[in-house]
Amino acid sequence: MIKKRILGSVVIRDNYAVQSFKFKKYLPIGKPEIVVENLSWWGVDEILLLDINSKKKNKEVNLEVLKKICKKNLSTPLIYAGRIYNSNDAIKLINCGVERIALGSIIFENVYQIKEISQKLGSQSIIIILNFVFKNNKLYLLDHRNNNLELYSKIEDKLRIIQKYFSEILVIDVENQGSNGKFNLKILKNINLQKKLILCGGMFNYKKITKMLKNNRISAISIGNQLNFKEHAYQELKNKIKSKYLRPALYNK
Amino acid sequence: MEYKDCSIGILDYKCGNLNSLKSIIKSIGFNCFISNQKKELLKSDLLILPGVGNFSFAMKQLEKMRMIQFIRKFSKKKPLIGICLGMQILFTIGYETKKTKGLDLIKGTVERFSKDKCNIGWRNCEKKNYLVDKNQFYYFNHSFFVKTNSKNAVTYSSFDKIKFPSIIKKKKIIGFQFHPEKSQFNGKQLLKKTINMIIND
Repeated sequence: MIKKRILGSVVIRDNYAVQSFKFKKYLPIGKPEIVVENLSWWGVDEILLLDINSKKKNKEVNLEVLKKICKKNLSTPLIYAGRIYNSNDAIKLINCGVERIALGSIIFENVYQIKEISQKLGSQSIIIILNFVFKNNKLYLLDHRNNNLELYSKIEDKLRIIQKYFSEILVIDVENQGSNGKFNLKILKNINLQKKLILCGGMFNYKKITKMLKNNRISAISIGNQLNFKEHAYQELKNKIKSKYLRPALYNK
Repeated sequence: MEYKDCSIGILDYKCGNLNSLKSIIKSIGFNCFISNQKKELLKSDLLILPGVGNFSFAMKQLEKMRMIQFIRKFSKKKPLIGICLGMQILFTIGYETKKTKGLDLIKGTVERFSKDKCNIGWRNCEKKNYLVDKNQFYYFNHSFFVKTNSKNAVTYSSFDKIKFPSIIKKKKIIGFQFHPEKSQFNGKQLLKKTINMIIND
């Protein structure tokens, strides 16, 4: 049986690992490579790097920070997200040391570029990021480049056409990102794509995690801020949940 | 051969994460280098084909680098390890993007899971054998799988009601469908055991 994954996510802003709250407020943690090294040592199932930049116009992938992380020679799989707009960027990232990439803004810019990237990397390496916001009882996607909201249903139609070119969807609840377990489960009812989902943004709640692990649509849960408050938080999380859906919490010596 | 004397070459064909593989191999005590030069790779005692990507793209890269014949000749004399896509291209034909000839070192085809599904995450191998235990988990990340004669399969894993070889072996060639270099402690142990076994085979 495949085990569901608990990802350790690290938000990187202007080359620093930060705690993020709704992607609006940030508190510094330290060097990303140190944070990532700790997560790998704790034996997290995958590490998600969400690289954001305060300069909205910057469209370069941040190889500088990634090279420092990859120099640590970690044996934990890495997923990288941040300003990936074409297959050249994607290949650079894979060759640098990540296993998978997550694509966000490209959905608004040129959704069909995903097909081209997938044809070079394989669909298993591609994750789509959907930044959800509920407003007036309607579900929107946030475009981080300009803070615009677009109706999700319109974007979903485009994604359906190209869904064979990606493997999973990273579902981010923007309004609850950084909160303690407030992820809005109503979002899931609105996603009709036949892809496995990774939940992110206010998922640190034992009951919620246990419930979601039983859901067939969910392949992984991403935890960010809460793993940075104390030592061995990941081990404690897995030991408390004790789910047959999870791999045992083993230190990665 | 003493493992400290063994030199391992990783072929750089722009399809994957080479540095982490190199460092993991070094961390378990072997000499290791990355190269795209035949002369250098020929000096190695064991060649590794890593791989993250697409079958057709990978074969195109090998063709462009004129590496296809080199790998075939190398594998007749010295051990070869293929990892993930690096294992898939050892077979006769792959169907990713389009029908593409592989290295044909082992007879078999590489086919897509149904409904574009991907096997991603930590999973065990079904049969205890000389390399892995049933309770050890390894990191898989693939949307295509190998179909080959059962005599080439060391062990299997299952996904989407399909049983596929997760480790293959034919003479001095070994392939892993999963990523041992990204499978933390168990992966490192497996690589160490495999390399020691195959160079002294």
